[in-house]
Amino acid sequence: MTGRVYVAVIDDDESLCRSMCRLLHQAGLHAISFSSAEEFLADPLSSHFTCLLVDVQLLGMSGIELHQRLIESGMRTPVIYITAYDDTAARDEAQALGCAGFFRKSDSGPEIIEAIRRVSSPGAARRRT
Amino acid sequence: MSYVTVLWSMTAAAAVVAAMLQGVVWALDRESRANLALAIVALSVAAIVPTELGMMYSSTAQEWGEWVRWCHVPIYFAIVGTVAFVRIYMGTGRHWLAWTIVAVRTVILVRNLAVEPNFNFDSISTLDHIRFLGEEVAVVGNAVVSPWQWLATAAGILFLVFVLDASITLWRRNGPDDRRKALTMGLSLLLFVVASLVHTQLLIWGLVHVPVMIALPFIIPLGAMSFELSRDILRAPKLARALGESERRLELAASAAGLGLWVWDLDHSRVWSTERARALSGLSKDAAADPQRWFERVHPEDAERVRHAIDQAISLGGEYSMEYRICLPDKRTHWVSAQGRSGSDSGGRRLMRGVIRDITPQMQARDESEELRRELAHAGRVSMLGQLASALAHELSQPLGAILRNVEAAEMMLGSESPDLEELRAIVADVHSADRRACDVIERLRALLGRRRLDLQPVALESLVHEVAALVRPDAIAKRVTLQCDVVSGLPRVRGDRVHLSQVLINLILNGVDAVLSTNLASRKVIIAARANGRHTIEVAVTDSGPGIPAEHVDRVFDPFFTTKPGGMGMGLAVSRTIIEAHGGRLWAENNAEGGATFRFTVPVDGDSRR
Repeated sequence: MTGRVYVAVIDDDESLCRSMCRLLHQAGLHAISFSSAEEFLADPLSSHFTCLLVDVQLLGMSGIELHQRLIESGMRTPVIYITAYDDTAARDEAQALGCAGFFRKSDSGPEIIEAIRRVSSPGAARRRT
Repeated sequence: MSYVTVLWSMTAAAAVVAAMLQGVVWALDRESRANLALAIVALSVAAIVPTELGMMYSSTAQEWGEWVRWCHVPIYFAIVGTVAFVRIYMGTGRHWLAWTIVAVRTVILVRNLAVEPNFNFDSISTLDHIRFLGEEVAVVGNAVVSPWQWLATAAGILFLVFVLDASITLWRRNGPDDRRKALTMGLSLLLFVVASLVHTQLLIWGLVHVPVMIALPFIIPLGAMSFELSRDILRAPKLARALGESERRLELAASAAGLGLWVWDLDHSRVWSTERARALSGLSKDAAADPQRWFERVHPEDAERVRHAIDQAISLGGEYSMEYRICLPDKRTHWVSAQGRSGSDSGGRRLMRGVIRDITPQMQARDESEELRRELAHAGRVSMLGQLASALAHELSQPLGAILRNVEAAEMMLGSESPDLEELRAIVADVHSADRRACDVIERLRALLGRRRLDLQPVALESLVHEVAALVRPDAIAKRVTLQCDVVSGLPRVRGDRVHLSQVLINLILNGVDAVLSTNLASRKVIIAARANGRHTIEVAVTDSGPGIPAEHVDRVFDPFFTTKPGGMGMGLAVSRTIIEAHGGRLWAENNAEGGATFRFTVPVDGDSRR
């Protein structure tokens, strides 16, 4: 997967998921959508993504819980949160887990893309390890 | 002058006076048929007198026989009149007996006029002269009694039976005055019949030598009848006073109750009304006589309803009772309640009698309480939406977020050299559907936020429950509560107000969601179920898996301001109950055997949707 950026978009809202993938695709990123955290974890390639774009509120396992699970299993994939609520408690929790970004659904797309590019640059990967 | 002349003249005079008096009473009031009957009897008694005198002063047997013959005519009318009087005045006496008497007496009269010398005798050869009351008078001497005489005896006995039967029936009926009437009439007639029957029989069979005396004993029942009727006449001023008093009492009661009275003479198309009734309808005294003017005052929206009810009451001879508006000449409108009953007066005129009452204050109070209920329901919805605010923000931000991403993607595509038109089309379609989704959310919110009166329409519960569940689900998901809908499909539609029913459901579901928060994540569940309860109602139940309602609170959860939630107003369930009751249903709570609480309400099935 070297050179190419693969982003997992995890959101239970189908139309939101589709539009996000569409935007990332236009920005030259490879986006793959999942409708729940469980579906993502079940994917054999889940550990190969460059970055995760996760909705805080999900049916079933929440975005934060997924992040915790990933940390526990030793995965270091950067996680960027997208939320419909600007909920300080959730934001604090996300930041405590070391998220790579926390955006509202109304925030601008280029900013989100910018954040993805930041975490997927070779330098960023080096910094993480 | 002899005693005979004096006694008989006095009898005739008394009878004539009685006849005149009763005749005048009848002439003034043709309804008083008893007075007419009595006048006929009295006149007949007066007419018997000269025939009896004629017999006493007859010089030949032929002359005597002639007077007997003429005597039968007034006797006929006296007996028939008395029978009529008993039927009319006492109201008893068997019909067939009465008619039999009339028939027998008619036969006797006809035969009497057809044969010589008269009905009772085949021939009279001599007269005897006896001293009677100090005077020499003629009585029948040698004579052959007609074989038909038994018919006259039978007629007398029939009359006796008729009178006794009528009196006994009246006595047994025992209404006011009945026993007195039975006694005076029964005894006086009995006395007369026995006296005259025995006396004439003996006389005709030649067993006693006395003159014919029917007029004299007839004075007894005549006096009794006159006494009875005069009692009524004498009582009239007293009755009039009592009537006046009762009218004043009625007037007081009517004015204290704010009632206007009216009587509509249907045959002459005229209306009598009290001042209050006219004031309530804004009519002057002259105008109020015309029934049409009353109808003109009815509010146009109510006019047809009122017309129909009144026509119905007239044609079917029943009652009507309704509430409607009246437009006064000064453009004010007020509400009245009117009742009317059709019938007829004693003269057979068709009448509609009625009352009318101002109910404007009650209607205003009703409007005000309806307004208050509406305000409370509205406040309840606003506060509920407050609880749902974050869930609703989520509901709205999803489609708006999708629109934003799509537009951003489109912008980027348009910046490239050869934009993919196919993809752009897909984007526009997605934007469209996301926009529609956002609009739906806003539409639902607007319906719930608006102030509205209860508007009962057929409502399909199944779709209502799913709609409400969709509205509440984001909140439930955020709180990790599973919402389950168990609505039996194909339920008949209910009669209700969509928004108000949604409010009740949202309220019950939110309560359920709050109730399960204290339990562990896996068992947090709220079930919304709906099923038919008999043919006429649908029962909706919202069941939660929470800890249930503490026993000491079960009776109080619907009380206004009762709450166990910090920051709760305690109005949600109180308002919900008012809403359900306004629908004609019931709302109650119970604890489940397997834990948790269930709130149930019923709503009536819409009449047109009933199957």
